[in-house]
Amino acid sequence: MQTGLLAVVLAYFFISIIGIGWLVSKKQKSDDSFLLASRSLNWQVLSITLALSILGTPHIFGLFEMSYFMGAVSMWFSFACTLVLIVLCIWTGPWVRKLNVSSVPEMLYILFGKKTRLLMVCVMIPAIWGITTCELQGMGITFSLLTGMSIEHASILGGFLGILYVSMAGLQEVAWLNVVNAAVKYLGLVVAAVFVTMKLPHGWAGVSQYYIDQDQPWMLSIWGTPELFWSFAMGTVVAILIVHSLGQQLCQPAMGAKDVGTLRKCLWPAVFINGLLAIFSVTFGMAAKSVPQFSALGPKMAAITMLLEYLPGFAIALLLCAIFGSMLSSFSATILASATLYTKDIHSYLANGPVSPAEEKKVARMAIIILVIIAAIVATAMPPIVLALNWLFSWYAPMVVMILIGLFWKRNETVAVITFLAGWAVNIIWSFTDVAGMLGLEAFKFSNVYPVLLISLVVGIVLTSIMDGKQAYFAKENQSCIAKSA
Amino acid sequence: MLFEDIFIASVGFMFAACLVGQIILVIQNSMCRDEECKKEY
Repeated sequence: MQTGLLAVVLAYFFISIIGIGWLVSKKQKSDDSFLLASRSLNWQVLSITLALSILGTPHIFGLFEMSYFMGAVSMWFSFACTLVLIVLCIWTGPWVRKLNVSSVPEMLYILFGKKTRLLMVCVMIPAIWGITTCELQGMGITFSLLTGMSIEHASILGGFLGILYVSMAGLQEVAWLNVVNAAVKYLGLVVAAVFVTMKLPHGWAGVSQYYIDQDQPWMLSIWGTPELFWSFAMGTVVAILIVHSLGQQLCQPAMGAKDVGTLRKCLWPAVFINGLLAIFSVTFGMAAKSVPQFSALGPKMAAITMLLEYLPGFAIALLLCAIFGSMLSSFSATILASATLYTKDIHSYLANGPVSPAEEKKVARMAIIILVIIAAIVATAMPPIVLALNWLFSWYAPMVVMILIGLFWKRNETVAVITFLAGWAVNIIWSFTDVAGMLGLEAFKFSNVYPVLLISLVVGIVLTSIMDGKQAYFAKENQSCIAKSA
Repeated sequence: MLFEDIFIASVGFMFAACLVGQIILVIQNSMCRDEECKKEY
């Protein structure tokens, strides 16, 4: 039966991926549309793509895990994504679109110079690729549960689907596949919620009662405990705002927008399409913990096993299409972002002569395949998803600080380089030594983003104030509305 | 009940956040001095 289900899911993906990929690639008139969709995405397609670009394994398996341990406070992971989409639609998206750049490091080049571009791309590619490994881990777990195959083989199968999802026609293919997957996703989740509600031994009231009986009423509140709120909830909000507001993964679809106005129209739809999913993940995770037979399986397996147990065949097939759709959409966003960074900021930028769009497309495809293969190998080690993400996200903090300083205050490349190195050094020290314990901050041991952001702000602001530099980028453009909108 | 509570909290948060965002866009629009800028909103 499980093999039959897997066949249905795989058939859905092969048909949709190959069908849409073929249609889109037929319509593509030039090779330069592969990475940025010829900057032609309208608000309907863009809203869904923005929403799904940051909606994947962390929103499903990450939230299953988190809600198992922390309860409703884990909703802040989703709230953080809501906030970052708002920031992107109002500020950072219009900035990158207006500057007409192809990557975030290219923006650094415009603001500061060559060194910052190369330095940042060398950190961004591994950081985004790290997120890809978490996405693959989620796909591996699900395939493994369904088929009984090893997680190693399941991760490789997930990686193969991911390569197909993105490599036929690039961003435009991803955007249209996201439209189809968004519809399937919410249909699958609503159907699953109906069956879970019917099958829970004592209904949702019984789930609440379980946490009260366990003397854990804080698990039912989105505010959690004060310690969880300040370390996990606010730490996650800051980390996600930093990594995604100016990260390649979310900025790439924004760069492919038709114009700045298109991005601003995405505000409401992108937020709601992204934000509603976490309601299902968190409540499923908490419900699974309240039932002893699923709770005993642990945080990674409890919720998905409960769903496989409670749902009838057709609903499982629908839900699996929804889950894989979500995972593949954000997986493709991360892998396309890494491939774009390599192609634009390393291969093309360091080439001796001009690189043709056809060659860029070829290089991007090769980069996609190689990065996915390495990610599939690492995914089998199964690092804890949320902790891995928080660590990866912290690498972006110095970049965000310096981009804001460069856009609105002053630009000095030496200051930017020193700030980058200082922030990254703190991230490593915080992770691999017990400095948090020595400072009496054990509760923030895994909230790297706080110390990294603090040091980046101090170093960036102090050095910028005492050293000379070029005028702020937006200060030059007093006549344009960029300065006003900023 | 749990599902309803989390649903209401989540939708409420998203609505409030989008409303604040929309107000910011309106303010930005009102600061535009030319037609090209207004078109962006």
